[in-house]
Formats: sequence, C-alpha cells, structure tokens
Amino acid sequence: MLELKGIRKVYNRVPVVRDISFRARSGEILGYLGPNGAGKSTTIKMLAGLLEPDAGRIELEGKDIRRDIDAYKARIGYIPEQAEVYTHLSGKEYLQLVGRLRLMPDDRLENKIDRMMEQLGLSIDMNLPMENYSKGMRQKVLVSAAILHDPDILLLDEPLSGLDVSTVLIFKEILRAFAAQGKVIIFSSHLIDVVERLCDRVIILDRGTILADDSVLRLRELTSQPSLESVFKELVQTGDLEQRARDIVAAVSSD
Amino acid sequence: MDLASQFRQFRVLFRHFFSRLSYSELLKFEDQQRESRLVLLAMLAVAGMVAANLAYEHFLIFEIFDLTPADLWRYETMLVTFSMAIAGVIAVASWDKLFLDRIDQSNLRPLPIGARALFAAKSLGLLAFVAAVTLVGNFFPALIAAFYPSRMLDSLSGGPAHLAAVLLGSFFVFLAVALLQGLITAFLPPAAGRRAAFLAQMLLLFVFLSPFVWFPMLFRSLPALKAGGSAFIRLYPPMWFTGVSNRIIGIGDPLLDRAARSGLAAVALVLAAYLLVSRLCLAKFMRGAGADPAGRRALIHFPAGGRLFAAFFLRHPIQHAVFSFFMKTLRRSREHKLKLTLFLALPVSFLLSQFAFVYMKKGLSGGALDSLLLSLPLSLHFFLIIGMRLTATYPHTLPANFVFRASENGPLRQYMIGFKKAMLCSTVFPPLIFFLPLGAVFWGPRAAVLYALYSLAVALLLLEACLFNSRKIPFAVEHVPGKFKLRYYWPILVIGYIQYHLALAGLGGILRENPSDYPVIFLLAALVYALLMINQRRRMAAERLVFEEEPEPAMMTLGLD
Repeated sequence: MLELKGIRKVYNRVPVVRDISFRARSGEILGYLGPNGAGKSTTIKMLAGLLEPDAGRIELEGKDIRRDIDAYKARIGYIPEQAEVYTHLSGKEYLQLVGRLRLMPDDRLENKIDRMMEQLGLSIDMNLPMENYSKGMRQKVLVSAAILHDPDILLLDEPLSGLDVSTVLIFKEILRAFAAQGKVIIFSSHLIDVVERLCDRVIILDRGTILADDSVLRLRELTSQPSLESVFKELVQTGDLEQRARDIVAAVSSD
Repeated sequence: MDLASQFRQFRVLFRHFFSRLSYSELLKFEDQQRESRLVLLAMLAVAGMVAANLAYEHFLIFEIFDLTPADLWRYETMLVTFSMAIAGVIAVASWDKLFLDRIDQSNLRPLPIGARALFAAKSLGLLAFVAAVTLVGNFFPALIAAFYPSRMLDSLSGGPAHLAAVLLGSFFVFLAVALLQGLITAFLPPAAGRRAAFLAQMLLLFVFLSPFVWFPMLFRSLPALKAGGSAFIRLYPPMWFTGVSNRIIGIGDPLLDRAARSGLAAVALVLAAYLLVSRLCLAKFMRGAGADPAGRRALIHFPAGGRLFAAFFLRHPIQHAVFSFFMKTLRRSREHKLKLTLFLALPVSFLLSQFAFVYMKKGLSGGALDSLLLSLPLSLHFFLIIGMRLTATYPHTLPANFVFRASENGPLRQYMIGFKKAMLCSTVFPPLIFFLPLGAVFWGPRAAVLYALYSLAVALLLLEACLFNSRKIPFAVEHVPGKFKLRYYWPILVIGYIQYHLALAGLGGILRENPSDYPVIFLLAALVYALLMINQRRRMAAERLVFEEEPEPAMMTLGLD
C-alpha cells in the first residue's frame, strides 16, 4: 500500500499541492482527475521521487520512501506527462538504457524488449532514431519503459496521450491484468470517460486540494449525477461551460 | 496580396528573423540566453578594443617606431583577419538560421505570407545581423583606428576606413558561409545535405578559429611577403578589405588598390550568388520539399561485437547504460560534436602551427618531427579530456533525463565508472592509436610503445583530476551557465597547458633518451593513481548523483565569505 500523508508542495510561494492525504491500495486502479494546474503531475512527480514534498511524507508499506529511496525507485514504473525521450536513440536503445539502469541482465532485457516491441507494433521501427517517431510511437516506448522491469507500483501521468485506439485498448487490458496481480496503479488523466470505465476508485483534485475520493459508483450516488463527467463538473466549479465556449467564439468572430 | 500588406508582413518577419539569428544553438544557455548574449557582446567589444589598442598603439608615437602611413596596412590586416574570423564563427553558429529552416517550415508555411516578403525579410535580416555584430565588435577599434594615427594622417579617416573594411569583410564571410549552406540545401537531398552540412560546419570552425593561432606568427612576415609579390597577398581575403581601408585613407599602393578591387568584386559576386541560391532555396521551401526532419535511416548495430566488448569492459549494467548513452550521444548529437570542435580547433591549429614553425626554422631533421611527436599525444589528451569534460556538461534533451532520475539505483561509483570508461574510449585511446603508427615509423616500435604508455599514464592522471568530485551523468544534467567560469579561468587554462606541455613533453624527451628511467615514472604514476582511487572509493560511498545545481552567485568572492 502506498500512502501520502499531508503532502504539500509550493512553487514560488504558490501552493500547488495543499496537505493532501490518500492511500493507493494493491490491486486497485486509482484514477487521479483534475483540471489543468490542479496539482496532478506534481503529486505524481513526488510519488516518483523526482520532487521532494515541502511537507508531509510518502510511505510504502508503512515505511517512509526517503529512508531507502533507491529501493523504492526500483519498485516503481513511471510515465511522465510529456512524451520526452532521447530522440537520438532508437526505441530499442532507449529501452536498453532504461533496462540497464534498472539493473536488468542483458539477455533477459533483449528478450523482453523484442517481445514488447513486436506486441506494440514497433518492431519495424525499433532501430530508427526516435526523432522519426510520431507522438504515439514515443508514448508506446515510454509505456514499455515504465513496465519493462515489472514494477510493483505504476505511476501514470496522462499515459494514453497520442496512443492509437488499439494500443489504448491493449494498455487498458494491461492495467487490469497488473491490478489483478496486486500492483498499485495511480492513473492521472484528463480523460474522464476512460477513468470512469477503468478505475476502481477516483480522486478529484482542484487547486491542490482533494475534493472527492471514492469509487465512481459511490461518487455518482452521492452527487446524484448520471456520470463521472457530471460529478466532475459539479465538484470542480467550472462555471457555465457552454456560455464560456460561446464567449470564445464571439471573441474570435469579432473585428 | 497588395504591396502595403506585404510590407507589413516584411516588417514583422524582418524582426523575427533578426531575433532568431541572435539565438545560437552553439551558445545555448537554457533560460539565460539574454544575459549570455549580453556578456558575449560585451566580451566581443572588449576583445576588439584590446586587439585594436595593441595594433595601433605604435601610431601614437609613430616617430619613435619610425612608422609611416604606408605601414598601417599590416596592423589593419591583423584586425580585419580577426574580425572576419569572428564573423565566420558566428556564421557557423547561426548555420541553421541562414536560410529558412524546419521551424520556419512548420510555423510560417501554413500562413499566407508572400514569397517576396519572406525572401526580402530573410536576406535583409541576415545582413542587418551581420552589420550589428560587426559594429559591436568594431566600435572601439574604429575609434582607435580614427584617433591613434590621426596626427600622422592629419585626419580621422582611419575610423571610417576600418569600419568599411570590417563590414565588407564580415559580409563576405557571412554570405560565403550562407552560400555554401544554400548550395547544400538547394542541391542535396535532405539526408545527404545534413551530413554535408555537419562536415562543412566542422571544417569551417577549424578554418575560422585557426587564424588566432597562426596569424600572430605570420604577422612579422607580411612585409617580406608583400615585397616579394607573394600570391598569398593577392589571395588572402582579409588583405582585399585592408586594401579598401587603404584606399579610403588615400594611401596610394598599387598592390593594395588591386586587392581592394578584388575585395569589392568578391563581395558583389558572393552576394549575387547568395541571392540566386536563396531564390532556389525559397522555391524549395514554398514547395514544402525537404520538410522531412530527419530521414528514416536505421542506426547501424554490431550486436555480436558490442556484446563481447560489454562482457569484458562493461560488466555492471549501470556502467553499460552510462557508457552507451555517452557514446551514442557523442556520435549522434550534432550540437555536441560542434561544441567539441569549438574546444579542439585552437589546440589542433596550435599543433599544426608549432610543427610548421619548427619545420620552417629547422627542417624535419632538425627536430620538428621529434617535437611534434612528443607533443602530439600529450596535447591531444589535454584538450580532448578537458574539451569533452566541458562538452558533457551540456545536456541533450534535458526533460528526458527523468529516466535517470526515476531509476536512480545503487552506488554512484558505477555511474562514474561508466562515465570514465566512455572518456577513456573517446579521449584517451584515440590519440594513442593515432600516435603509435607514427611513433613506430619514426622512432621504432619499442620507443613508440614506451612513450605511448607514458602518455597513457599522464592521460589517466589528468582524467582523474578532471573527473575529481564529479557526480553528474554526462549529457543528462542541467547546465548552469558559468559554472566552469571559463570566462575567467581561460588564462589559467592556457598557462596550465603551456606548463603541462613544457614539463611533460620535456620529461618525455628525457625519457626517450634514457628509456631505463620509464619504470620509475610508471611506478610513481601508479602510486598516485592508486591513492586517487582509494580516495574516490571512500568519497563516493556516501554520495549521490547530482541532477540540479544552484547557479553561481553573481559576484565571485574567492571563498572569502
């Protein structure tokens, strides 16, 4: 179980994450929803050990991750928000780099890479530098890099960005299978419908504060809303979205 | 589109192209571009002032030095040479922006922009940029050229004459570089064009940086060359523009007048060719040809050889990861290769000049070859190791370094051993491979091997000194501008190199005469190396990788705070 206790992060005196606490349980896909700037990526980066919280602690199985951060990092797989990869490397070389940094023996690594590349439809392009790759192809490489070492915890920040439909379907099945194996999965996304269908539990975040933390079904019941999208609109005060859209069109059309 | 609309577009595009030219990939400093540009411009202005002062101070008291207006040309040639060399380096640094590039392709092509406005803005933006950089670098030299010899000339004509010479010189260099780039863009397919462009950039960097080494040696010989009617005087481009300066001042010199005419013709010719090639490139741009950013060339692999090498040399996976990342980045990153070229151009020019200088004085049998062979591995090691160390501090795709941060795993030592092994393969072994056959031919195999081992020992110690306290993964960590304080420490580097070179090449010479002393030196080196290793092992046990560093404070306090 992964637990955040009173986590706070401040950038340039602006609090981005304010004293948030929650638990992510093994075998559960936890959806992490929120508008732009809500603090989703900052939380995920703190969970990945890339950022230090200004206050609070993160515990894995009751132990502060900072006590042995290397051992913790060895157990996580992380997909960042932006598909930033070393474009001068080929997809295969990138995965070799990640695998070796994760101390995987070369023979096992090669075998895994070849199989994953084939399943994700990248085997033809695996020796091309990634500067030739589309956004979706780079995202596939990042997904592969995150799961290559069979991590116990998956931290996914917009993992479906740029992926084609069939890869999205494969990826959802992979997550379900991983959850069934008892892994901890935190899935941060803007895609409300995907979160609704995939996640067992959802946390809705706005301006660094948790607004809701429950199962999709229970959230719908509590707010008497028909869908997660309506729940989201209700909780995150988005205002009259249709009116805002009309205002933008009017601004564009005016002389 | 009417003319007024095209003119409005031209104004916006002109400003855009001018400002894009001021941002250089070679001098990229993340978010401190503006500050770095100001510092570089200030350094350019100060360097110009110092050079002009050194050149023209004799004319303040020309009577003592027995100088006449007819002697001005030699000093002006020096200033024009350096000004053109700097313009050349800037032109190479701006290579991608001399013509419409990929960024223009994706941002400007979808917009309804007239071809004429685009063409005019790009060409005039380029010329305005050249003029601005040249004027900054030559503001003080122009004042000095106007006032120092004014008593001798009875006028201030030296100033405008100098400005005209350097402006024409800079236009010539910039347009010639742009023409070369245009020819590559217009006539080669994208993949071949990229390779040709990279080779051209490396070569041009050597060409433009080398005068700083050889010109001071040539300076004394200029009058003799001119008096002898040497072809060098007619064909050396800075001399053409010195001729223009001479002409404006009004010193009648048939040879320099002819050179001035050649200079004007050369500028006109290269401008016409540039405009022609620009039109061809623009047509290609408007057709959308060459938009393919990188070609689809598969990377070449030697899996069997690679596995064998890794099995013996890179046993730990982290070493293997860091080593492979280093070598692949070095092999494939154009930007890093150019930076390394920038660091190496001066020492290689220095070696060649040293050889030429000794050869001209003493001939091959008189020690030129021995002196070159003694210097060769030592000098190459010195500049390769330091140059590579500095080059590796510039990150490649910084946001992608999360992969190292998120997987940080285990002892710092393995990361650093991977880095060190990559440095060995890229900086220590190649000079020895280059030296050994030469040494074997001219000194005999035994002497060559012993001297190579001596150079290896020196290089290993130098490498340890350079990587002392290093806790960063090469090419993967944020670059803090000025961290190495190269701006302040370059004199120490130059003096350090001279001392290193004199002491170690001298010692190498003695050892060559007395090979029985080699074991003593090897033993000493091994002892120092072992001590360094013990210290490093102890230190690294408690340390972690560094990914971010605080910038240096604005004021250096030399640790007195």
